[in-house]
Amino acid sequence: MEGHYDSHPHGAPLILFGIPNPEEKRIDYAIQIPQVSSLILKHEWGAPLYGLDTIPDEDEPPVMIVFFSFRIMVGLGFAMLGLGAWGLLRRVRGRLFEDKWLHRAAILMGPTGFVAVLAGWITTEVGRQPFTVYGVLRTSDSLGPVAAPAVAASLLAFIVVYFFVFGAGTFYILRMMNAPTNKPDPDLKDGPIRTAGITPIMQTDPDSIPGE
Amino acid sequence: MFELSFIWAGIIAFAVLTYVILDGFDLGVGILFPLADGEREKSTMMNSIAPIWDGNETWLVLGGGGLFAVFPLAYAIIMPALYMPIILMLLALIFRGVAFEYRWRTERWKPVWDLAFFGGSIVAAFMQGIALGALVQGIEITGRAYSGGWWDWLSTFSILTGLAVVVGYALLGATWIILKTEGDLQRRMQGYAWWLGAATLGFIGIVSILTPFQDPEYFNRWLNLPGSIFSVLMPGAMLFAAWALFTGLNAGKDGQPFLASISIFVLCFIGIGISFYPNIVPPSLTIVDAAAPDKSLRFALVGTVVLVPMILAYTAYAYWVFRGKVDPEEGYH
Repeated sequence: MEGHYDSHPHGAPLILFGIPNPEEKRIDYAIQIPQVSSLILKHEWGAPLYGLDTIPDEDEPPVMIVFFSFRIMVGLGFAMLGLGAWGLLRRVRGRLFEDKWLHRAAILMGPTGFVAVLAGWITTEVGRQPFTVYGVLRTSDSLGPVAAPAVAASLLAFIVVYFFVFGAGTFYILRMMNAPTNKPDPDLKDGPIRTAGITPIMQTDPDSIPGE
Repeated sequence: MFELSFIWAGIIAFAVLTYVILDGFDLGVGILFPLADGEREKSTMMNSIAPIWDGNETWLVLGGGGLFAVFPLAYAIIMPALYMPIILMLLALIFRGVAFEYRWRTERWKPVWDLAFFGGSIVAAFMQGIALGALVQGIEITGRAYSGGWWDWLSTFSILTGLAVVVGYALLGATWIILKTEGDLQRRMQGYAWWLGAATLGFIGIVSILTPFQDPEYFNRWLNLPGSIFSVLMPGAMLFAAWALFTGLNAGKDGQPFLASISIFVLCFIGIGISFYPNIVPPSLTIVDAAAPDKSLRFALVGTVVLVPMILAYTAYAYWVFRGKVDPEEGYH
């Protein structure tokens, strides 16, 4: 994840960017800050840090995937912080609703939370390889006695069904976002009349269809 | 007899039975959905279960998750053996679940989501019945793993139990609608419930006759103590439940047919329990052998003893809040 192929007995640098080179076991074109990795991981300047050279080759995870998925997650996190700071700055100056570029950036950042979560998930799951339970059970030993075609068919079915269901859901969400907001309904004070999900528009008129 | 694994088998059995009854009636409503006459009846039927259906499916999670935690060996054997029916059931439940939400978002695609609701309900019910049938047939085990093929679950017997569960769930659904509605819809459901009740009892009879042929051991359990006590009581109890169902329907009672249908399901479930005990996966895996170490059982039991009463309490409260007849004029959606 940190991309340290070698051990650093006198403090490890924080590798910001680079391209892992699994054959040569090094990071090409690395941009790094000296000592910071030791500070983050061991909370101590110059603390020794062990690299992948201490782990047998057959127990190493695929460095390339983990290296990039981790950096995508962290990078998006900083981008979110940046967007927040930008918005705060505009807010303080009283121009929050006028800055078109801020609004465009906010829309662009919409899906990044989801992407960051996925990238983080890939980091943990791939970083754990080749083990299912780290150090105890290897992934190749934890297969169930299910025939390969059954697994392939079910995976394919889930992909198709999820695309269909999420596609339809995204379409309906976008349509609801596109619809103008309604006047508040006085009846709503009596309590919830809707039992599942969120319905900003339906509550005023149960028969209305947004966007149609 | 009352050691930890037995207590846990009881808890899992309770969770599965609760699931079968609760999700049974809301799947049943989905199965009967195409019989609704017009948009008004459709929304009445759907609204009668909208507040509670996902709570009902909690019990599937508790049953499956509990099995995974406390009977890992049974879980590891049942899941590969029933891989296809369980995956198909989950896919069906996905379609059915989103239909509740999407149906009200569109006019053009309403028939699509209506079909998803009906199809998802009937496929999920059918697959649950197939899973039951495959379990009763017995699952091939070598050492500590499933050793059969991936089509072993499919047989005439499992298709029969699949159909039985669809019809039984439809009976639960019909009697639920009788309880929750009035007027024309209720009257028609009383008619359907009569035929569904008769068909359910017919299926129970056929499956009961065929079950001993799946494994002679089942026969012995019913003829020897303590099973033989139930062999004497069971037909009488079943006749009483059937009598309550049909007299309730004929008298136009609201709640009695639903309670009678639930009783029929409880009796069948007890029957399955007698046939299986002391096994958890027929024909050879016992409850004790499948259980996790006592330490894990005790640890998980502490949480369960606190949580299950809480789930029961809020479930009861939810049903209390949404008691009474569904008013089609008052849109939940």
